[in-house]
Amino acid sequence: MSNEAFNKLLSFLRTIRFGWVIPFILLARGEEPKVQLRAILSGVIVPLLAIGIFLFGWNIASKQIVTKFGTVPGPRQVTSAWGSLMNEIRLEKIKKEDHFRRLREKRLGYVTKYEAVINDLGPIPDLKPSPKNTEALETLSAAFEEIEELLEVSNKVSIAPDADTAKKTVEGFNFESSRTLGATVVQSLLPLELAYSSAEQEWNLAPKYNPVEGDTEEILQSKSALKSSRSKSLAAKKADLLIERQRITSLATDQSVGILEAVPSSTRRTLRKIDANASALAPILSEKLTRVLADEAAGTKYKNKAKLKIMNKNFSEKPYPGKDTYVSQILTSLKTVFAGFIIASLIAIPLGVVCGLNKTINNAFNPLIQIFKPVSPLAWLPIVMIVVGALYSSDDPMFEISFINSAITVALCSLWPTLVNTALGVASTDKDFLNVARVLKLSWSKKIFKVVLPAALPLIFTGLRLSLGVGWMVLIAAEMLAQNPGLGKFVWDMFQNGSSETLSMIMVAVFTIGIIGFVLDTVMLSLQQLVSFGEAI
Amino acid sequence: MAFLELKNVEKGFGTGSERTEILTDINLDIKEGEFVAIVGYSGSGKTTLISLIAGLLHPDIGTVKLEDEIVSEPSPDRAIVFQNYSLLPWLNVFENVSLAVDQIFPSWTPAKRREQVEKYIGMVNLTPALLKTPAELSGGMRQRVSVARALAMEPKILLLDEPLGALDALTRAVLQDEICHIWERDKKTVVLITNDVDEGILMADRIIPLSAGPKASLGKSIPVNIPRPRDRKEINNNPEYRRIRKEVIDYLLGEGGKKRDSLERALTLPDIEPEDLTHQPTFFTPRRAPKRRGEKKKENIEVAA
Repeated sequence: MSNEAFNKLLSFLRTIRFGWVIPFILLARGEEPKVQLRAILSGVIVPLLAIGIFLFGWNIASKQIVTKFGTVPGPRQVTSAWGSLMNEIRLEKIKKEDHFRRLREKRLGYVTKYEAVINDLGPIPDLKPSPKNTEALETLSAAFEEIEELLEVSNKVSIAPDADTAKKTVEGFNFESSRTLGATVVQSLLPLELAYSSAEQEWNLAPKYNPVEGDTEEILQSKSALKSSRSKSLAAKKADLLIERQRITSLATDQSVGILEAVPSSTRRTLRKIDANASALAPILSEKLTRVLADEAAGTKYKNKAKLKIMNKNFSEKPYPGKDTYVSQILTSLKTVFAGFIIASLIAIPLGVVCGLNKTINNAFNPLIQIFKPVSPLAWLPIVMIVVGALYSSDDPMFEISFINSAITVALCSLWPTLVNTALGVASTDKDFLNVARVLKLSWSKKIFKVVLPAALPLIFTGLRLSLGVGWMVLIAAEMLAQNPGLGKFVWDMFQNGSSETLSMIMVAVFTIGIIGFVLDTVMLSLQQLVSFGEAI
Repeated sequence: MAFLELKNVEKGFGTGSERTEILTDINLDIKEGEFVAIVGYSGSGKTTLISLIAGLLHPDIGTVKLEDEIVSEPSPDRAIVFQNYSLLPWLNVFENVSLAVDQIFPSWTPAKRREQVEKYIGMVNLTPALLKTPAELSGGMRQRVSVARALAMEPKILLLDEPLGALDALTRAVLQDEICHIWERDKKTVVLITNDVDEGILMADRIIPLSAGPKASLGKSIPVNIPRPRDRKEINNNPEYRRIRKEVIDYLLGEGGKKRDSLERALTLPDIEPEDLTHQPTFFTPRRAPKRRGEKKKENIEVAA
């Protein structure tokens, strides 16, 4: 690599906030090891140490605070909550596969049952229960039998009152994999379940330790100490239990995914073929139904009409009603924030250019900008909801109304930094550049696009970067209230459902929001540096 | 008949009590193909004068005429080379020059325009840096691009506004020679604004001192009858050179400099309020630190002639 290219690479790394890898690269090249080691110490080890201290402090502090949902989650619980969210995504895939398996079986069942109707349709795609088809369906059913049992194992075993009963339950399982998993559950989860339930019983005695009249100071103190230690120990046991439950669930899902993946590809091909044939049959059926209905109106009766109707209903395309997973919620949030950001930019940049070019227009807009700039999203949202509700009503809307509400609220809040910076950038275009434009007699549009806008570009991008930051921050609040199915709604739902994982889930969301915000900012920063042309001249 | 003619031109800025007269009673005749240098103090209104000629500013009184036509707006006929280059930093050398060429010769074929751009970049010896951006060039190279851009416009008159003011002495000397070479090739009319008397004498056919502002006006025009090409090493011993130099400097320090005597200018004085030592500080009421209010004052400068 040439020296120049190498330097470019280094400055690129710095731009995308990966400057901390540079000392490692230089060290590998053997450039001044002492300097590099010092750079690594200050640039890598110190931040890592700070993170470590933060995690440690968090871990200690979290155990001291007991809320109605248990202890405040520490790093372990949050990691486990993250695992459970990821587990849900894989589980959703399994459920989807199962849904289509049932649909397939149902459809093939109807094909056999209503042969009369099928024969009436003339030549149709192959959906007969041929040996190949049956075999494929059976393979998949067998896989799902095993999966179902696997997913049930921990539930069945952990309600056992003691280890012996649990072991007996495990022996009753049909599949080797479930028995192995069951053994693990008996070994690791069951003790925690038992410990927790005994701690819970102990806690139920706690009202005994409420202060009563006539307690001396000493008794009061010991009662309160006992109560607090019991509550803490209960919460700690619960936290351990939840983490272990999550681990076992993940294990079960892992194995289930493994079983699904083990389905041979020839079987998969056959299954896909069945699905394709089923969807090819759908239009034939509906066409036939239309014809029959028309014939009937003309007086001719069709004796299998009811059956045809049932067939048509079962073969029509229905989307899988999947649950929102965490990833899809993140994607929704990103989509919303970008929609709002684009709306904001489309308004702010042209308006900013106009304000920057003309002092009078700037004076006209300035008071409005200054007044609207500090308004919180929570104040905008109700207005947006009512106005959008009045203007945007359709039976089959292209966008969800909650999406539009959130996006417009984001736009209203993130408009201002771009507007102000664009106006500033345009207004502070170097006077000499404008003189050049005057001497060359550039037309108005050429002056704007060849001189003013390029000169203002770095500041415009500064504005855009600030806007995206504001937009992302505002989005969560907007989504919470508008019920847009993104991260904001996730936080709100978690808060509302009040499960034992509530706090850890919200903390996962907090970290996710933070990390995505950081990535967005880095992307914008890189873009901003891309359009800045070296030193100002 | 004069090619460029300034008649009784006056220019001031501001209104009412804030008004400052910059230029008064400017009369200037320049013949076609002449190289005229205008020498004066910094802040005397040299840039205002060249902006008037360029049409970037309008005179309050009097007229500026080029070939008997009143100058009312900027035009590519009067190309300027600015002191701070004013190259567009997001365009490379080629694009900076071709922006001008494409704008001024829209009827030419792209190939011909390209040839024009390359010709003038070649003329200032920058062909190797064709695709570099201004940030990658040195000050001298940037000014060359600026000169190439002005020349490529094929103007009737070339206005140089302290083009070499920001350069170091060595680069300046090289560029002076280069500009002289280029000028000798096609004898374009040139107005050079400078604060360097030697530069004026070395380059121009005629040198005109501009008195100190405010209310600056042009002094006596002094022809430079030194044969070209002028050698900067020899010229110091040339009696003609010394005579012109003395005459210009005498004017600038004597007659032309006198106008400075009543110069009034705004001044920011450090106005310090001392620390209050009588006050016993507590946590809530800390001792007030000395304050610097920076009051604006007017200062009257007397200049010895």
